[in-house]
Amino acid sequence: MKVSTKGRYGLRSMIDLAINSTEGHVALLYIAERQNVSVNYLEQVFSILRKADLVKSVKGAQGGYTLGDSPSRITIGRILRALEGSLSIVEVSDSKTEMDNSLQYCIKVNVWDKMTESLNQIVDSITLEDMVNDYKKMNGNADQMYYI
Amino acid sequence: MGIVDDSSIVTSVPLRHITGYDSLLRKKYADLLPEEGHQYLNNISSAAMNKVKVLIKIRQKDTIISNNKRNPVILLMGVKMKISTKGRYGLVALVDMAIYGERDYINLKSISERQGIPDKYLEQIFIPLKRAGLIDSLRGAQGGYRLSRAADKITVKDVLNSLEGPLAPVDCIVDAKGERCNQFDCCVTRVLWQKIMEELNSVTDAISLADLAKLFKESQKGSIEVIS
Repeated sequence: MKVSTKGRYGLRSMIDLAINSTEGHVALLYIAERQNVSVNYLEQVFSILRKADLVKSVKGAQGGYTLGDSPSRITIGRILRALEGSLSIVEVSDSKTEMDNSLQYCIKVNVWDKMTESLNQIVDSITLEDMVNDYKKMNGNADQMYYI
Repeated sequence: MGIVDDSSIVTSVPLRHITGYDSLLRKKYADLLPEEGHQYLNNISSAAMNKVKVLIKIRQKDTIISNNKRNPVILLMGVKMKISTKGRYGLVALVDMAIYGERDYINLKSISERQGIPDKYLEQIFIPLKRAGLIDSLRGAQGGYRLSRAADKITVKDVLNSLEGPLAPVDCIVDAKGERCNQFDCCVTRVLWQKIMEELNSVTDAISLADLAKLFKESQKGSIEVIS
């Protein structure tokens, strides 16, 4: 599993959006400013997130983005997979598959696949809601954080 | 120290309101405004925009050391977790040694031939493995490499840690201070990376080289039975 800039900013923005979109749509500009990333870049990321139904957009003066689903139903795994593709611990060898009786295959099944499985289990067991709750706990008073 | 950061967030919002209001004013009442009015709005708008730019620059510079608990920046650092060829081949080589050598010194070439890994590459991998105390070597005709302790006392985690470093998706959770960013205390994603690392540690620590050697031998038995 190697999370790219896209995945990192995507996850950050989703948490930001979950925190800030409780009272309406959020313009990308504000997320961009808070997360220190360019609006152009976020637009690319959000077009992927939108296609995966993770966010919804509304055009117009009061427009912007909201979550495509309730935060309790959006797992971190869903976000990362939408942006990164499948999450695996080793590079997937597409062309040459190891012989079933080789030691490499034995290790693949008993080590790499197991690691990949637990990685996926973790990210699928954590939701955006969990992350927001963690964030609020860590930051103490959540009501005063945002002005926008 | 958090003041700079705090104020940059607090002040950029009203600044944006000023520019937004100015442009609205001009859109709606452009014709009614005298020349000085336009000039005035221009000055205000560009001043506000410049201030926003400065604030953004201040924040982009990583000079703000902030323990500010209310800082809304959520940090997520680079994740590097894919096991490299080094880690994969290293583990294969060590399990090979557990299967064929047990505690005897074995020739690097024979591992290379059995596993199809270039011996030059194995030599490179064996340097950190030796440094980590997982293998030792003996020079001479009867020399070679062997596991430095029983195969059930060496786990996959030991091997991966010596070849890949900690199974940390981000550096800040393993580095005592060097890689800590200014958001360390309030970074919410850090909890996620820590969970992932702990889980990967426990999975890999539960598998020993002896386990893998046994599993491999069993798989060979199966295939022989199928053939005969």
